[in-house]
Amino acid sequence: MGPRHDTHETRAAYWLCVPSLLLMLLLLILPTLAVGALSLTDAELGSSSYNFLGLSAYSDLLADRRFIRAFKNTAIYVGLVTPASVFLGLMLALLIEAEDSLRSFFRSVFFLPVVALVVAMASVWQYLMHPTFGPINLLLNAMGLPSVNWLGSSDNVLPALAIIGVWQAMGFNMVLFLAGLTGINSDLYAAAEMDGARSRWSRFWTVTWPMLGPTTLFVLTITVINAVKVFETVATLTQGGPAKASEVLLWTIYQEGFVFLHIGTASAMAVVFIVVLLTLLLIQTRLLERQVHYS
Amino acid sequence: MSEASLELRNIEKSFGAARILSGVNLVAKSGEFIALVGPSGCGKSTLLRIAAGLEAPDSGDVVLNGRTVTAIRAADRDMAMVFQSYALYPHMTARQNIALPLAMRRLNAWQRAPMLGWLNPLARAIRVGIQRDVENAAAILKISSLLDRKPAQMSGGQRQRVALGRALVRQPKAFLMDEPLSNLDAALRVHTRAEIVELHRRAGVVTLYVTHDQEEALSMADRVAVMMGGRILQIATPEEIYHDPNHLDVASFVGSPRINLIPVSVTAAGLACLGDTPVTDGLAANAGDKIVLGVRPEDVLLHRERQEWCAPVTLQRVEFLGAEALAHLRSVGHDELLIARLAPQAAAAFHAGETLFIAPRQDRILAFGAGGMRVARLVGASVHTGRHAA
Repeated sequence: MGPRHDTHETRAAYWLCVPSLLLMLLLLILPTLAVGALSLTDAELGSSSYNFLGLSAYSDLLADRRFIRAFKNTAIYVGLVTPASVFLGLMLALLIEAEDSLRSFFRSVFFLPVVALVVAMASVWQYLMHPTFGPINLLLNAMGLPSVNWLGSSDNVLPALAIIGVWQAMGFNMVLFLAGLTGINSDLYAAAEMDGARSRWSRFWTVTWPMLGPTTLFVLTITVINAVKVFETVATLTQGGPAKASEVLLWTIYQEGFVFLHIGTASAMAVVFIVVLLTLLLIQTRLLERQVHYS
Repeated sequence: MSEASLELRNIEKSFGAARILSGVNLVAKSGEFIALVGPSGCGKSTLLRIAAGLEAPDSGDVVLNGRTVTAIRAADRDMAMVFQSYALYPHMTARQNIALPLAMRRLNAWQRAPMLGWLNPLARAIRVGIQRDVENAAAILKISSLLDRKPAQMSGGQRQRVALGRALVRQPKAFLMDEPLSNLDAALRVHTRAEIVELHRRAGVVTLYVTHDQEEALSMADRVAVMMGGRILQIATPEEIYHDPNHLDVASFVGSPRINLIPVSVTAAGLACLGDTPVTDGLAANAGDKIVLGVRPEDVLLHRERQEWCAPVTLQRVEFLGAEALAHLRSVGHDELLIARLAPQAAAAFHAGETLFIAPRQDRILAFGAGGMRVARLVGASVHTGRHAA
């Protein structure tokens, strides 16, 4: 194997990469660049001409109270949904793992929200959360508690949407955690027992939690991405209301681009959206990878 | 030297319809090294896990130092186990792995917790003691320089040492080892055998050692228990297992190359014949009984001339192994394949294709009858010098 042979092989390898690189360029990189380019203009859907504005769309965004509001609301929503759905997903997985006979039944039931169409399920939630005849409020009343205006009050709408978000994400997280749990070598539990780990608690912290590290990192990442992309429930249930209390990023971008047809502004928002998402993921993986052990 | 002893009384275990152990009894004297050996699926690992308390027997008792511990959970039996997969905690360094059994026993949950535990001066003092013990164990196993590595940064042999360290560090009442050398390469395996025996002697507690490798069992153990189909067929010293097996399955499982098994017909007066050729006599068997003679390769003598108790064979080939040679033989007219172990110089005199005569050493012949049970050979007949006669 001489150096000539090596360069020959290297060249062949590059040629073999060309088709997939081409597709990647065409389908992923160019559209993203196009959005970036459009964000520098005042393009509107339908009008044939546009002017180059530079970064003014971005500086406008900083002053756009609707966008700032959407940004804040999305952050709150992610902050509510992520910890709750990761924690509950893990709890469900541990409970189901400990149960022998009904394991596949529970797994299917909790996975249902993942495969169900959110738009269809949203109407069920609308009924459940209805201020006067919704079963949730009837239940609260039956327990002697006052009714809650779930989706109609600006104080409650984000937590209410977060509950639906948790309901959606929990089952998916559970399935991921279940897969992670089956990957743990049972000898480790036997070793922990021999080493004197008497309680479930100490076995969990000695074996389960550290061994689930890679799974947890993945679950966190997926949950954050999905939560940031919250859209269907807002579009079907609240339309950003009441009084912009459930205005979230994707909803704002959608309205700006497809309702008001301000492609330029919507593109700028989308760029900010992508940058925020990537930064979040970068921080997350950098911080957590140091503590995760891949074996 | 502690007086730890371990007893398994009439252990039964089934998983669903599959009967894994049927009435296993075993008494390990204090400080004894016992190897449980058998083919895969014979129940040896299950027996070990029952001794450890990781598995509950359907019936029967585990007695440790005179105390029945059957109902006591593994964590409270104070035994240590070494696993084939090593079962090291991959997120912990070697030091933390070895320290864990001590931390679990000497520190309570609050003292183990990060932050809180570090602030507590009592916990700190205990931790210093734990570190000292960990370093002592590491020094014995010669892994002091590896203590701050994680398992992923170690070779298989190094991981096995850390696993041994974790077992050794708290001076348990018994060592249980489940094929601890199976994942090591051949050279390292032979080397580590001696070290494990040495560690056992130093600790002086009962060791139950599960292996499928009969050579490992013979070379390491004080006594070997040969298991088949959920029972212990024989438990005895390695010498006894090899020279005086009580069952055909024990004889054929132990020894490499395998013992020669020659089906013979019994004619009158306990005389065994291979075809028309009488090969031995004095068997406690009746005419017409089906008997299998077991002769170890080193007990097969080769002659050029026909002699008493000799059967004709064809030499197929000679396998040269350095210190010894194996002659592969086929009996004339019966196509029984036999192996004789020879000195290489002796083997050089023979040539493939030659017809020779084999004579089993009469004092070493093992006879097995119905169900593989041992059949006695009466002393006298042709036995002049034998361990049974002696």
